[in-house]
Amino acid sequence: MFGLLLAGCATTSPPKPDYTIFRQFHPRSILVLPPIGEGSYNYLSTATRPLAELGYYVFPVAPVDQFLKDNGMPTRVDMHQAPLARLAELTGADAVLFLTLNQYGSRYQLDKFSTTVSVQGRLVDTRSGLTLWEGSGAAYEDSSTESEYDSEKSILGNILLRPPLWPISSKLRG
Amino acid sequence: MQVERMEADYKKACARNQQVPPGFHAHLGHLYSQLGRLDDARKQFETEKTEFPESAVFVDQLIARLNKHERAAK
Repeated sequence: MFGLLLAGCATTSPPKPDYTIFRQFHPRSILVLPPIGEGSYNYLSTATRPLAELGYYVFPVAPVDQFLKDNGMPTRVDMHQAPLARLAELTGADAVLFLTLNQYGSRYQLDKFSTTVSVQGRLVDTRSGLTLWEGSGAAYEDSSTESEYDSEKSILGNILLRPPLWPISSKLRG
Repeated sequence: MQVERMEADYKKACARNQQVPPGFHAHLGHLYSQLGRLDDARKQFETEKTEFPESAVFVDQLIARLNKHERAAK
């Protein structure tokens, strides 16, 4: 059992999407870096599938992880701090999705605790360095009935990485 | 084993005339290369490039690295 929160939304109306910058840069390929943050180490990104369904070419995370490690970025933080030009040179990506995951927990009874998984994301165009999209979301759950991985999947797949927040790629739109 | 699961998924997709998602072939190629099945790896990488031309820069790097390791091992 968990609830989903979208940051910045106090009411039920969703944020109005502004695709101006997206349309201007129309990225076709997105490099999703392994997420950084507490509690994210075990899971490579679950962002690839929702983005692929929107028509973006998404690089496979496991080979990318190994490849970047072999090319001077031994840790995820190194990958997140690498110059965009370097990431573009190595992969040919039009844009990079930076994800930060954090988990907060508190025990409120002897055997019960609640955890909150929060995700922040930012999509950056590799040539200009401009931010094409940013967003965040969180899920909270009680007593670990669902894993943090499910929450991450849920936040990314159900909330952050889909219309209306994300446009369908120019490739699908034709 | 993940390789077997992916191979089965690929057969299913073919039977349904469906394309596998971006990165699938590259990921399978990555697994093959880790298992030392270099020719199989190369085939998967080439397929990724054919299916998804946006992957060309990345896949070419993977192929180059594969070839380099193969030469070094000889």
